[in-house]
Amino acid sequence: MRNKANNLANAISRETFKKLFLLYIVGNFQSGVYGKLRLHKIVYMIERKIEIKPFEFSKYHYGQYSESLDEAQDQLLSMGYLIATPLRTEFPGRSGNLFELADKGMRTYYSLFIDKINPNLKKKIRDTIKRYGYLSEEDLLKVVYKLPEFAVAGFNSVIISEQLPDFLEIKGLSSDDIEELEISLNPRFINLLNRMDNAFEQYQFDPQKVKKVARLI
Amino acid sequence: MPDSFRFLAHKTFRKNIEDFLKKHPTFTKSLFTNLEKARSNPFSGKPMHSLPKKLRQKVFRLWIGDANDFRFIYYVARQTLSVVGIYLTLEPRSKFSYDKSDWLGRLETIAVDLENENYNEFEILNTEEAVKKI
Repeated sequence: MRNKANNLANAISRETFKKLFLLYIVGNFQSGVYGKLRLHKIVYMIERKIEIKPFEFSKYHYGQYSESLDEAQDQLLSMGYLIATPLRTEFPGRSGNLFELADKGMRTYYSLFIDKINPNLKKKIRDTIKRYGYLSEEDLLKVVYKLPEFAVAGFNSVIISEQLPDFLEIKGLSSDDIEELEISLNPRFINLLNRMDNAFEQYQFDPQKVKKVARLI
Repeated sequence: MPDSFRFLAHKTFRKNIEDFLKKHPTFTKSLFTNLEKARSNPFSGKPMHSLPKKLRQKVFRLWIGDANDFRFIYYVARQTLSVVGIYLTLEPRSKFSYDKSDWLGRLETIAVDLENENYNEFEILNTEEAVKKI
């Protein structure tokens, strides 16, 4: 994996790829992902089968868990690309959320990028979701706890290390499209845009009060 | 001009323009033309359909020079007929990384001054006159 892109107009950053990867996975579940635990386990199962590994996984109380996945998920929720709906459970003290794309129409858009980055990646993600994504939580845990690398790993130890270049070049899409993905998945940019937007819509910044007219020449 | 848009430039964006002109004087005409294009016909820029729904049709992009030369991004506040300059890349797009540059630090300054209604930090750019003079 190369860490430098020859042409940055045709590349996305590793942080953008992490979010794209997660959005594509969530968008592939027919009715959203039931619970954070399921999401972590499925991403883990996918990463076992692919060369690039966007998220580091460690062995924690509830098995395979990724802090960086949690962080990317929180950013996507905060930016408004994912929505979390609280789930009702029969067991007191247990709660969870259903995670879905805020705009389901974007699934095709994310799919296009994944396909151009690596067509095999798309197939592996879809096959893994089909095989494990809809198992009951109990059955899914039985599968992931039996994995050999998990059984021998010590508590808190890293099971999968992140393997991702600084930039991923995308061939076959326009630089406009690649740039748009890079910008629109930047959490700080979205936060600042929302603040600008609120300044006009809620705080009523009034441009008529700007008195200075400036010449460019 | 009650029904035409005005170009609202924060001091940091004005500095951004000055830095660009110093570094790339041969692109002056293209820069002025595109600033005026953003003001006079703000929705002619390339929109960003993949933004969260609330922000769609509010952020647009234009090229200064040819495609893949320099990127100019702006925000449109339709209700107040204003265009706000966000950023102008100083390097050609092929060498510019959104991940590594300070462009969001500049944008934060703009957002803070909009929130605090610091009107003195902004000016209305006379882009129409600039195009006529070049």
